[in-house]
Amino acid sequence: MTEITPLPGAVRKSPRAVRYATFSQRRRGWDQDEVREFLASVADDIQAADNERAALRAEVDRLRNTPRDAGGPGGGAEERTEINAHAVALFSQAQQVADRLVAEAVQHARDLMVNARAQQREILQQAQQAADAAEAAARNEMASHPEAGDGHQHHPPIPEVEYVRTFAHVAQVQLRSVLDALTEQVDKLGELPRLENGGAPHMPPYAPNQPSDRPYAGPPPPHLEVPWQLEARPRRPQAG
Amino acid sequence: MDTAALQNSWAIVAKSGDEVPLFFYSHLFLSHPELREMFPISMSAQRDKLVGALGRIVSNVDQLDDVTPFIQQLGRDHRRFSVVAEHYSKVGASLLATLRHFLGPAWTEELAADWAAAYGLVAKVMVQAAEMAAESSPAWWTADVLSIERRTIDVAVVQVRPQQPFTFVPGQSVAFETPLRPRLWRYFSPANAPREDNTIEFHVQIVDGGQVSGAIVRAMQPGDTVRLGPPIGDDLVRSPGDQRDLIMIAGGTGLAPLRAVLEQADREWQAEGRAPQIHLFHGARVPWNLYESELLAQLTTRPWFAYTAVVSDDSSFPGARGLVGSVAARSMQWQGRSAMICGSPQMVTSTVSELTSAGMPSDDIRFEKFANADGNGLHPPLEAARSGDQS
Repeated sequence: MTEITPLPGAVRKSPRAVRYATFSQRRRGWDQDEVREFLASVADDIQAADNERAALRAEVDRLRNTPRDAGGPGGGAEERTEINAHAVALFSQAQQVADRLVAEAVQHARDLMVNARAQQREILQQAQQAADAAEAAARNEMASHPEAGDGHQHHPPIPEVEYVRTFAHVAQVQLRSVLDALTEQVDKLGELPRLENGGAPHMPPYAPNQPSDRPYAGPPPPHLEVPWQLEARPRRPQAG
Repeated sequence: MDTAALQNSWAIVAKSGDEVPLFFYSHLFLSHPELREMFPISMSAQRDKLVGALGRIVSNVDQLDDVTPFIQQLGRDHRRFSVVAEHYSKVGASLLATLRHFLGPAWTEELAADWAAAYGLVAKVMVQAAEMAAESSPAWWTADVLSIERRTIDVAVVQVRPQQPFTFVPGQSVAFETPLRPRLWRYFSPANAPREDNTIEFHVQIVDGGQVSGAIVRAMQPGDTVRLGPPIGDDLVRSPGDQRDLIMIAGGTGLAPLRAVLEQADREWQAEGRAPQIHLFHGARVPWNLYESELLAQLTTRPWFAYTAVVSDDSSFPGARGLVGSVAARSMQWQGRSAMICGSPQMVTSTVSELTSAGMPSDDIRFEKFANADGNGLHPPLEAARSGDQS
């Protein structure tokens, strides 16, 4: 193995320059043949190193220019950078499982919400019917005992009206909490583990900085501005 | 470049259906795990988008001029996903690997070169469009949440203020992302005409089973920041001073862009005393979801404005009952006017068909038609966020 160690800052001598280097004569100098032989072997080494370096550079360029995943039909360029088809299949399966879990959770939440809305509609209808019935009963009462009402007074069946009112109120509160609980469940769907860069998945704590709930009918926040001045009059009378 | 070969090979690949994007994304994420972070957990909405769009574009690369505006829009849209030029070569490599996998022995050196060249053209158009857009506008706007006013169980009105100037016109839509649901972008429409103080109002309705709308309505707080994409769309835009009379038909929070147009008209009326006749039909399932009825009732003091509230699911509602599109079509108020429709996709579809079968010329009917509505987005630029949509 020839090691190429670049000489820092040195002006590189070509093998030819080494091989045919000349020196001035001195007495008691070295044996000229030995020196020549030595220079020739150094030049050979340099030549061999240069050749090897050129070959390596060409190989690097070739690999660099080969599109990594665009090998020919025979797969001539299937290098170790190739993504294994088996790995792709495994990864795909995992992704499909994740997709299915999210889809099922979303569907489940949606079903629950749809159910809750149907119940809400039903309860409201019942309340409406109860109110209608109570009103009709009150009318009958009035009609059958006109003297009791002194002719002009209402005779509301207080207990029925109160019952309906309370019923409607309770129903509303219940529905609100059902809806909020459901949306909270849905919220958690977004809190799936995140893959950190190259690291293992970790579970974030459940919504640490989110309030567990917001009041539904709190007072509206102060208006930052009057967005749309409805009471303003036109500055000029309307044309035509 | 042999475009026929590209098209034929794509036709073969497309036969594998859902397997193709599945393979593509798995290959991409295995090659470059850091890209996985840019996508939501569930990839099912992503599936047919990237590969489908790329395949269609690339195999039609001989008519590049026809699809260039679409490709440029894609390139600009992708800025908000933090897509940079180097991602395009990674996507290209996985695309070629996907094609090779599904084409098997039909994958030749020549075909590979053609696909690489075609993809290179498209990627260049996208990168250039993105770079050009980068000179004039940020990739996204960071906006401070100022208030969240919960109007009903389902609907909240959110006020935000972008930290940099943000220019839009009434009727446009804006992609919106909250850090509570990273990487899940939804489109909302500003519900106001541009204001002096740069604030924007969004109307958000909880969608059953939706991941984003519930988080916005319930968990977002004043002081949070959100990200906004550039405003897009001109289907519901009214040119300033346009005196053409209008019928507006809104379902749920589809009211938002129409409310912005109403405010625009009202400002013109206040300044110049001129406004077109506008009749707004606002539909909801239950009366309390007519969340803007107070303001709209006040607005009927304007001589040019009429308002009809429509409720579909409450037989005790004293006003108009039924589907808002049917009620509007029956009213005949559309005669001689142009229509603007906004609501859930089902609501828009049914309203358009009601109006056309009542005799309204379809040229006069306007509703949002996003370039990507046919599923051609790389990312889903449009995941519908109107009330009644899927998430």
